Amino acid sequence: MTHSPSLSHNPEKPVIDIKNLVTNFGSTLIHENLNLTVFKGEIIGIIGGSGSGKSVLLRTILGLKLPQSGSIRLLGKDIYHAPESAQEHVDKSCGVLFQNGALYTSLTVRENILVPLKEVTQIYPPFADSIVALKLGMVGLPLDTALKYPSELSGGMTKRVGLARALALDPSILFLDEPTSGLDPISAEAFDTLLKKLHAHLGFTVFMITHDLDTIKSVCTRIGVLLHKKLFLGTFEELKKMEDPWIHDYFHGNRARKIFGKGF
Amino acid sequence: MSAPFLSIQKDRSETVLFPKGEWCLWTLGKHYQTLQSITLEDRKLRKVIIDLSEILKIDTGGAVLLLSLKKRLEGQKFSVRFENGSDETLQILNLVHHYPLNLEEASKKSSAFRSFVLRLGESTVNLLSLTLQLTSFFGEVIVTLLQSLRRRSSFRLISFCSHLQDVGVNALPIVGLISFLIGVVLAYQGVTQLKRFGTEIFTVNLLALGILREVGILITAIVVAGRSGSAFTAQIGTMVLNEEVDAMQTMGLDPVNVLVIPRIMALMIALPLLTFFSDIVGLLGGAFMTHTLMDLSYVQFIEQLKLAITPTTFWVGMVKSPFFAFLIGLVGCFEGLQVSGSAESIGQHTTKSVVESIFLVIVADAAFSILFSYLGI
Repeated sequence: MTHSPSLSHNPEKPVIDIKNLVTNFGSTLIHENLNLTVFKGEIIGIIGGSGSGKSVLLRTILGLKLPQSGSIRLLGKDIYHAPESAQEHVDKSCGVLFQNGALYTSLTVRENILVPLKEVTQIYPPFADSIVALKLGMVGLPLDTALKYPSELSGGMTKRVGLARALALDPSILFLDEPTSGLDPISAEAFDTLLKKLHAHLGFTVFMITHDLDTIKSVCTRIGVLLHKKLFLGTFEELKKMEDPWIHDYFHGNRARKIFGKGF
Repeated sequence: MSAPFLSIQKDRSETVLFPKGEWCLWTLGKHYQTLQSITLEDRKLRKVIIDLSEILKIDTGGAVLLLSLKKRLEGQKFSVRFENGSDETLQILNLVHHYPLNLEEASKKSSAFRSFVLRLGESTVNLLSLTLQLTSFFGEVIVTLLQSLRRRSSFRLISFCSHLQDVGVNALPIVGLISFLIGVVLAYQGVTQLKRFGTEIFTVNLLALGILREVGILITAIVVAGRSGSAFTAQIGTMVLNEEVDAMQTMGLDPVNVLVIPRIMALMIALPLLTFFSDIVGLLGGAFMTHTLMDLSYVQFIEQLKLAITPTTFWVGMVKSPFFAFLIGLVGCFEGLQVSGSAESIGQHTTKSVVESIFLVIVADAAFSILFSYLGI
């Protein structure tokens, strides 16, 4: 029991805790002393211009890119210095939806969703089918999707299957890399609604990279802006008032005004 | 089982089930079968209560199990209800309750015989349509080839040269090494067998005829099919997946002209040259071995070689090579363009490309043999 990832954490303890993170590609510095603290149940949206290092930040948190210095704690465990068993524990408490779904093309949707499950437990066919049916239902896909291969799915369906796979283990933290990019506005809105609903029921923490102004407005509890190699974190209202030209343009541009209203 | 995760209490009027501890995905896989085997013997007690108060933690996996237990008991005419759940537990149960938990409705399995017949039919149709497609691709390539001969400007010279380097020059070491070794092996076998009749000098004839007519070209063609044919398939297949081929078409570029023709042309130039190289190195290997085994000097070897062969012997092998090159290039490019959907598809088509091109090369070689014997060459 001691090894099982737990859903409930001490609310005072941050779920994601990044301190003085420095990452680089060769001599190019991507993040300089970046700090971020995320608490249980938050939905954090990360925005920033192209090349500002959003994806690099995500990859660093996921343990896919080694930082130059600084510490990253997930669920209280330093992912780059913890013993292997603790790292495994963290891996199993994280669900990741990659930008293009990253489904295994040689497996059916059903098998894709079962991949993470098979790693943690022995599953019996009827139970496995129930879980797959549940996850497909949760992300709003018809059940006959289960037997399809990723190449037979549309872009929106691929993202939903990716989300179903990310949810397979009931993760405590859900990482989403541009979940609504490439979706039509209706699907994007449906995705937002879906995420809010699942979040309300399952109480996970979300760390999301997005360009979608609607998502930021309607879903995120706090927003992080990656700018000048640092992260500026705040609620929607707080960021709106910031003086920085990039942030100002972001929240007061033509597109933003259409979505956020003409009031500001 | 390490810890009891479900206890049963019987009252006067009802059965109470107490699920305990963690009801999560990772703890329940192993409990699933035990849970399935739970039966309530006392048929008089029709009321079952699942008391949720002792659950420490639950996730969707646990909820699925509890709900399927409830459904199963209800199927056995018990009345089942949940009681005393915490807010969190009830929330998850409510969420899961909304979704269908049965995949089989969606995936009806057909009978074994039916699926056998279906698969047999499918593969027959596939084979026929593959033949048809390959033939039509053959025609397309020939037409494009003739067009590009007429309009020289449409020929991709740079692409052609880069492929020539790739399939020709870069293949020299491996073709050379294999040919040399084959020469050595043939000479060794020849000498040991012919020694019994005291005619080991005819090993040179054996080598000359064998290598020049058949072995040189076959070995080279097989190495090139494995090396370059597969590379063609993988390159073109990746481009197809990446929508590069579609992009070309929208720009008015013909994929056959841009991708296929330079590759096939390069192969048709490179394979005869490689065959020539293979012939020479194979004979060298043979000469080296006869020198070692029989103490035959290299000058004597060449003298015997002159007696053994005529220019026809050499040309009989050589004339086959552009045809084989065309087959290898055609199949390699064709399979590349057939790639669709996934990374796995590239692997499948690459394998098919190598197998099919080697098969076709050997069939063509047999056809040439029949032709030559008919012509008396």
